Amino acid sequence: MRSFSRLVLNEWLKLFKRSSILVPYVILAAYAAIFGYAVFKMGSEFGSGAEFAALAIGMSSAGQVLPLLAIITMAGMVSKEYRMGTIKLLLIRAHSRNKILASKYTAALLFIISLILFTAVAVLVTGTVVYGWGGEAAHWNEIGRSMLFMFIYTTVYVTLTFMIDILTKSSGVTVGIALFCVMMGGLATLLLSKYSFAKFILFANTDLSQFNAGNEPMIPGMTLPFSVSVLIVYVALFLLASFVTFRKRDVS
Amino acid sequence: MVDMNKRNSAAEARSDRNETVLQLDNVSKIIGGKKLVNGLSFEVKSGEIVGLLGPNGAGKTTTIRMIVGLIGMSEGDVRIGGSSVSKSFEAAIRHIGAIIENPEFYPYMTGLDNLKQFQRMTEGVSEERIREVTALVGLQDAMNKKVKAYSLGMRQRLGIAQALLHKPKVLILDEPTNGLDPAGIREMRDYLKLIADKERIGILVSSHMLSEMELMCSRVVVIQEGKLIAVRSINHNGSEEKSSMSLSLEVTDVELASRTLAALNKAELLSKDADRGMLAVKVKHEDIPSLVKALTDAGVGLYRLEEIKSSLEDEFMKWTGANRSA
Repeated sequence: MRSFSRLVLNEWLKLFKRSSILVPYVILAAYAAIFGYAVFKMGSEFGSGAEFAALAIGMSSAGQVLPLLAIITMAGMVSKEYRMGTIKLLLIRAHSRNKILASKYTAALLFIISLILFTAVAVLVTGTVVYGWGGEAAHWNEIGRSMLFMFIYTTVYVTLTFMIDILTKSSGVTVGIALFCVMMGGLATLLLSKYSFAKFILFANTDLSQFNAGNEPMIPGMTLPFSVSVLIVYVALFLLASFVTFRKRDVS
Repeated sequence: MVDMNKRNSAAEARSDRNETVLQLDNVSKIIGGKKLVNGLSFEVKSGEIVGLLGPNGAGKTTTIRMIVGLIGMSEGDVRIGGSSVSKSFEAAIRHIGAIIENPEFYPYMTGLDNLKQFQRMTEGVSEERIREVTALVGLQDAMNKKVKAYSLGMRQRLGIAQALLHKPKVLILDEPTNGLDPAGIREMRDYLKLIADKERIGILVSSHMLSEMELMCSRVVVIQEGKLIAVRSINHNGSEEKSSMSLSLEVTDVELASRTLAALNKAELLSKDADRGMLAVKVKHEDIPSLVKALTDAGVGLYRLEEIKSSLEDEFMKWTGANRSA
């Protein structure tokens, strides 16, 4: 266990020893500030900082930015090791390939969590500056729920990115395919929504905020437990494909 | 802790003299019906430097990558320090330190940060050991510089530091002198000899630099088209003195000289060239003084006497066919 956490620390340092790692955080801070300024200018009134934050961290606001930043940063996590040749030194140590890959995936999940926590703090600070500190229990609940849905949404797409990165060994191709999926997935689901199989499409299920009170699910008849089950199956398949490929592949 | 490690390794070094640390057993790699490596077997003992030689495309890189588990084996097995690479990879690989092709690091990290990455991947590598290996390769002053600012020679040395960090039993180097200048090559050679001797590490080096291998290795394994074609020991300190050797003589009178030698009956005449005044003989080491005396007594003037050494390159060409370039 200790040896595994040291592998995760290695992966974390590989991310954070680059100065470019600051870019997603800067963008999210800028997002919070710009979003706050925009709703203020439009004359929206919020009773408290938490009420603002609950809106700003929702899937239809921060959810349009954060997952993309996570995908762009995580694409190349494995393929860059191949490109730089460091994969050779990584794989000739006394650790199984499973463990090496699992440590990378764990670091990716930790990175997503850090992005979400950072965003939560950024929108709360913005909200407090503009509308003052405070908020009702309902707002805090909504913030928590949004953060959880954001984590699930981003994790599903990052897992997909992770798999494409391993299969293609090219970070450029990976970013392209993954962003295309995020952008077009919803549209494709919409076009296919008259068929009943559409509810099994990954993209119909990724955004769990569709089950929030007052929202309509993408396809009638879908429920929260159903979508969660579908997502679990997809994530398991993506991980299976990733690990099997990574284990078997000759490094030449 | 450090003291204990030292004592252990010293004890091991004593008991493990000439123990086989790396053993290839009928190893093959088949891709698409083509045998890239075909039933290869050889071994490396502790304290010896073995060269893996072969023309381009002979399967050197594939062989080395199979040893370290980067490429799977189709047949056969590799044993490192007694553990099988295919069955118990983690136990086997912990005895290996390697640089496969170029030493590659995370360029945006410092040398020290890179070594710490490897430290975290192995149990029991102390800060002290990091200082030890960096001092050994002479990089103390560059440890806080980013690797992207390193020269190729510095990266090679950091590569060696990385490979030795966990005190392996076997060191594997793929083309270690690639891109080094002559001083760097010489430094690398002396250094490898030192660690083979002092730390009793078995070293496997692949290269196509024949003259370099001749100076560095105690044994060479020659492969071609994935097959073993020769294993040859190289004696550096003239331990073959007792056996017979070939000599080239430049004399005033070839005919008189050859008659004298025939009468002496201690040397076998290999060839003679009357125009250039040269002749070649095969003679035992201890008979050389009497040969010289006999020639002088017979009135043959001797300008020059030298040993004809067949270089590794000559033999390599013989083995692999002269039309192939190494």
